[in-house]
Amino acid sequence: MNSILKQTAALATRRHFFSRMATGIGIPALASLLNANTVAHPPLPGFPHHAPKAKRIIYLHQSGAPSQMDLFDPKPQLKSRFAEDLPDSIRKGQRLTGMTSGQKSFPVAPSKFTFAQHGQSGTWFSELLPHTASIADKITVIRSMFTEAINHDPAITFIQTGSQIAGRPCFGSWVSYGLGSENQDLPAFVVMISRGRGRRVDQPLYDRLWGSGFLPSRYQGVKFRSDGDPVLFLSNPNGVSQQVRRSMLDDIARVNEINLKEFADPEIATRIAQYEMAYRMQTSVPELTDLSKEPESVLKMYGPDARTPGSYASNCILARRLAERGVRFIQLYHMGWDHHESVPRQLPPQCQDADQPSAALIKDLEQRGMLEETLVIWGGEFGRTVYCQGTLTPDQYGRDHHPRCYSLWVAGGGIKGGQSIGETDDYSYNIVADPIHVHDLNATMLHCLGVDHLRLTYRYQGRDFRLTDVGGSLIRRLLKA
Amino acid sequence: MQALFLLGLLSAYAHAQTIDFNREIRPILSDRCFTCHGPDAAERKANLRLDLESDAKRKAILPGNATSSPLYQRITATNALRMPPAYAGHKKLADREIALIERWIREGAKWQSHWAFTSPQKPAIPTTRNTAWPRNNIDRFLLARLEKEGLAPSPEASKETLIRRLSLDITGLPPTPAELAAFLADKSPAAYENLVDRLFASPHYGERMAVDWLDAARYADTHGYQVDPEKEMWAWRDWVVNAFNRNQTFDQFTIDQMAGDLLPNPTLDQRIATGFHRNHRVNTEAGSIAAEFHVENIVDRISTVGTVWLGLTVGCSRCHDHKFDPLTMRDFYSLFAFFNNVPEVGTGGPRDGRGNLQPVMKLPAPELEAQLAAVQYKLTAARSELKSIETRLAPAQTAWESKALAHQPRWHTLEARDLKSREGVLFEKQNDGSYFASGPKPDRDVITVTAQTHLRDITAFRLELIPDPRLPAGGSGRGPNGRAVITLFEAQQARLAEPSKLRPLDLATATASYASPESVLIRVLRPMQQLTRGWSVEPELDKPHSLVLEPRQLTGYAGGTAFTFKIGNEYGAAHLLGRFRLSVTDDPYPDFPSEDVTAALRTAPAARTPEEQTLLRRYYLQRQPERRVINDTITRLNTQRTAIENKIPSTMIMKEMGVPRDTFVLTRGAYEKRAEKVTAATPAFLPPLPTDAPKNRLGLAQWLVSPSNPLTARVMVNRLWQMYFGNGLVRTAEDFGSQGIPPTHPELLDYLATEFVRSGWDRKALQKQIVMSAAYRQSAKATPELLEKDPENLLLARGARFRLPAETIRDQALAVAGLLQPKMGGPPVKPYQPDGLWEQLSVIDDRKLYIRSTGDDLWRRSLYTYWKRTVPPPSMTTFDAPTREFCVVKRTRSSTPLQALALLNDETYVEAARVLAQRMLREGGPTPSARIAHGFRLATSRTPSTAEIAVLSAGLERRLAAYKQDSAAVTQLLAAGEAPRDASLPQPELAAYTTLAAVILNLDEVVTRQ
Repeated sequence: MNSILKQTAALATRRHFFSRMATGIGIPALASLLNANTVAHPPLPGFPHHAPKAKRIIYLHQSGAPSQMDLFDPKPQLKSRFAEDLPDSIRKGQRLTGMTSGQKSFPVAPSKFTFAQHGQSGTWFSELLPHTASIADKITVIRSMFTEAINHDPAITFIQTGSQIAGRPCFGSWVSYGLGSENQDLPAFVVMISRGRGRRVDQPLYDRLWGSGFLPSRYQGVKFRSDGDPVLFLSNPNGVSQQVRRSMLDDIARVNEINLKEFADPEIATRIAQYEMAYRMQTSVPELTDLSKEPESVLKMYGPDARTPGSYASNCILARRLAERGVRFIQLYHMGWDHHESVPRQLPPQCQDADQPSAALIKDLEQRGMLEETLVIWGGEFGRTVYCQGTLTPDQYGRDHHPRCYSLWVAGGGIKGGQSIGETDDYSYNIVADPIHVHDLNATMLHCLGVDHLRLTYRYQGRDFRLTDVGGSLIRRLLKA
Repeated sequence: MQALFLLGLLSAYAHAQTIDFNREIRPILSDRCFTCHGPDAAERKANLRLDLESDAKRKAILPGNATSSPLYQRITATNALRMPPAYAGHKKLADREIALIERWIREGAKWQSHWAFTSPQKPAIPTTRNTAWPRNNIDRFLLARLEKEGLAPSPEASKETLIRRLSLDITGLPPTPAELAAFLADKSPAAYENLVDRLFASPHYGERMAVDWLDAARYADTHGYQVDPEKEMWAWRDWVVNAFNRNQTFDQFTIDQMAGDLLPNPTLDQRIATGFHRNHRVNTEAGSIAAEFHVENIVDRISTVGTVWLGLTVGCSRCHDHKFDPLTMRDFYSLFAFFNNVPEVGTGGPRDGRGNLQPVMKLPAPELEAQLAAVQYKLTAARSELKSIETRLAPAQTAWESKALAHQPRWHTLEARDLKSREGVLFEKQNDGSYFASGPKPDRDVITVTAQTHLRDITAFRLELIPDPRLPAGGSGRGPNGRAVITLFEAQQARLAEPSKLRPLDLATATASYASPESVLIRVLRPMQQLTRGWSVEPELDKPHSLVLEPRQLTGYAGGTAFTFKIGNEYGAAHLLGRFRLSVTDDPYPDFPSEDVTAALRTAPAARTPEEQTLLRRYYLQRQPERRVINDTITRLNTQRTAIENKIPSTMIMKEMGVPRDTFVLTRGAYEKRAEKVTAATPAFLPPLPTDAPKNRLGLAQWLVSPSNPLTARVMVNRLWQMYFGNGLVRTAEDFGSQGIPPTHPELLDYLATEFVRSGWDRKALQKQIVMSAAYRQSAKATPELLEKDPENLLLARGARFRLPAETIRDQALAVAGLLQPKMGGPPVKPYQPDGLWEQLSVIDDRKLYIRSTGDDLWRRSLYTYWKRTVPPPSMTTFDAPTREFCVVKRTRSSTPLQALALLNDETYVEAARVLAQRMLREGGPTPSARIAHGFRLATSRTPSTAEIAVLSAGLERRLAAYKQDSAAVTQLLAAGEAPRDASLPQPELAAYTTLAAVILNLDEVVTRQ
């Protein structure tokens, strides 16, 4: 139904356009009139559904799955159960991945890291996250997330699109489709990728994760790169100055306008507008990615990697700059959390990469008064097992994938900070209180943006699809009153 | 709903006559009522079905009396009884919709079964007032409708427009200047038809047609999912191109791909064709559960068949009965059974040398097969020699056994000519030939040792860790408690006479006098980036221990050998060597035999088990020098054989298992939740399998193309129509069910479908009929009246105008520049692509993965571009090509700034502009306006207007002036791409014309077919 409404809106504009043309207003003026509708596109009619708390999302996806019981979900009593086999009463015959399902035993591997409570809220964090601990009262840690997939590709696809099967739009595409764009010069949905030190060789990512699925491809995420052009094909070819480029664009527009007069196809006007947007991006994107004017104090806050292009720290600064410019959905992927081999050896450097910049981003947004209108999500696609994969010693253990419970945190627009939600059993294996499904989280995030997840739909193959598929209920406890 | 909206845009056509149930009522009932009162038994409320006439009229509808009908009462109720219910997710009925239903009931509630589920009947050809315009029956159907709307068709487009439109639509390439000239000069009445026939006979026709079929078949060069390894299916792709070119009939095309392997004596081509069902993604991620992905893969196959042949959203009935169409879960799993009998593994299983998964078929490769036979011959000879050597050596085994346990190999200490530590650790030679470490104590280190020997037939090297009281806790290493961890031992060798010509030495085995339980000795020889494991002697740190490393082949040159060893301590925390010694031996038995071997040796010969006897015999023989030589030859030949085998192309195919797997309904679609058992069957609401058809894929294929199947012909005809008009007669090409949009011209669709079947499923004939119509030949120019009345051009009172597909945009630019290489088929190619795209997302971050093609392969048709599913070519996806991860039968068509950036800045297009500029300067004539006209004509097939020439030449002059002032910019711009540069042309002019050519290639008209 929405696609139809959208078409109606577009057609209405076009009609308006042609009635004006008849009265003799010049084509370029009309093209710019159309421009407002085709480039910085407005929300769908009726959106947002209610007053939004957040205007945008910064999604800090930690790809590979951080270990919850080494970071957020302390289980000190497990120390005394070192190397005991995981009781059947806990495992309940639930499925395991092919990497450990053949193991003869499932010995309990207690975390070697120490936990402490932080802030007024007394939220628990492990020693690996000192900076995140310093924002304890601004964030909410969810310890009772669960998902349906057990391997990376289906699980990331699931948390991003609401289905394990490829082909649906991702979170960012849904949001830019529903709420549109606020910026004339930048895409509504931007993606950035970094690699962690914890595991240089890690699970790969893929273009589909920021794809628009069956939504029109204009809603797909635009990937910013740290090597070469920040946006594909952004720079003029060598030997083409900005003056030459402008002259070329003027000629393209003029000949297109002649064609528009003859054929009266609104698509021609749209294309003229898209070329102007491309031209503006050539200025706006380099200005955006240039960190040279960031004050030293800000760079310092984000830690030692802040000046390294393509690092997670640098991407976090860019995320703030994108947020300042009204970009609707900013998606970061930080790779390297898949610690099958050795949590003690791989997790500490991985946390060093991610901890300080994540906390700095929250503080930076808050200092600028933007945290209240920006929703930030930090987390992976599933959790890790309490039992050890491979050789177990007190200082050496690996952990396999675990979909039945995991932890993440959210902060900012609409979120009631300074709390922990959910509880897992003694082994951080099953949820015992407040289970939160991926659909529930996504429904709640949409709610913060002023969107009723049941009404953000798109008709495809005869069905009204939504990000939350056929599930999702609001987690009221997460929300500010 | 969509349908109502689209039709609502038109005039009051619908109100003039009685209400059409299928077009106006069923969509409302389907969209708002079927979820709870439809086919899905599990979700049904009040035991009421509104998708069945009998049920609806018994319980909810009194024909002729709306106000007494419960249906009407409930949709107009003002209290809690109101339907659809007000709770979340249910949309209200609009007043207009309620009025429609009221009128429909009042007029008698005339019911129709869903239009797409009844066999098409050839309709009567309508008569039209205007009899001059129609050229064939297509036009009569379209015109009859236009006349009802009071609209007139548009005039015929110019010949220039028509030849470009036809060439791009049928071959995906623009006409050449010669083709254009010939068509314009041909004034005969048959000129148009002759052109059409020539285009359908072109081999490029198959290349153009294949693109849409590859989208539908989700064809790619990699397996997909996040690991996304390479596979090889281009033989299947070439089969498709070829099938179009020889105009294989659609029924045979279907049967070959669905079940070519099940035909009697299938040909090579028929088996290749079955690759259609092997194109789906396969999840090879470590730890994936094979049973889970076995189900996913088959679901993908069924969904694809549903979309491509039936136009049904079959996949919806995986977890529950279909909400809108009469497809049950049982139907779904009965279809599943057809595809459940392939000898395959859900997570792929072992890959062949080409990356392909079982079942797989090698393709003919006569030259390689001959090479293979030659190697095989040598291999057979070497193996028989090995046998005779073993027989000769056998008698001496007993004598060896008696001394084996006490055997002490003779080691020769190696003196270090040079010993360097990466981190500056110092080493001091000791009296026993060992080296003692001191000085800096880094966390990690790698030392490089060079040494020489004249020994020949070298069988092993030895690294000894020697305890020393100067080291922590009197151990042999510098780490905590005197620990060292050896994480790497690597050797290179050179002839003494040529010490700089180092070659790597293949070390095959590592054995130790003692190793801690955490040690993984093979990691010393084959380190993994992730794993800093290796050899440690914890807790025997204060005892001397040795690690013996054996090369795969005997080594040592006549005249002496220089070795360079790398020994790594990369465990961290300063687990470094403390005191060590290196030595070398030619003893045939230098290693520490495994416990199994020593146990067998300790056992009295008569008491040994057969396993122990085999073990000892193998251990004894394998290390005999004479046998080692012949064994090395065998190893070398085997390597050669594998290398040749891996060059032979292969392709994945379908195969049927002797004993079929059992198939079950899966509760909620979950792979592990088996419910009732089912057998292969087609959906119950459609006509049954032909009586003589086998109950396998072949029978299913025959059923799909049986004339009684109401869907297949309509669905296929609709997609062919879509290629020529930008949209199908059914806009939802993927859904002909009750939620799809009904056809704009149902009679025309049925006419074409019945004609298609009557012609024997002849696709070229059908397409010819389409392009011969007057409707196709209309000008695409819109008038204000048409834009107001029919903005979407549903009624086709004007020609279709739409952006070209991604492939055509690139191919056209190459063709216009004269760069396009006509070579057809074969392995995929890798044209220009920005650096780092694959690398940024892949598993490995330090290796170049996308190796660009060179020469002609840079300019092949886009159909042949390498398709990596997780990082598809950006020049294609930017223009709406799908990722090829799942079936797509209708691409979206978007207009974005990223497209502008690609056409302006992608090396492909900058190079094409440069080469087109050369063409303009060389062929275009002496004046700028003649040259501009030439370039413009190459790209658009028409002569530019005076106004257009004026714009373009003014721009050209501006930029020429700029380039004349800036020779550096000229050189830089003209360096784009690998295509040869014409140095004889004035370079500033060439640069300015390059920008002009780029302007032309970026024009809306050029990327549009109009």
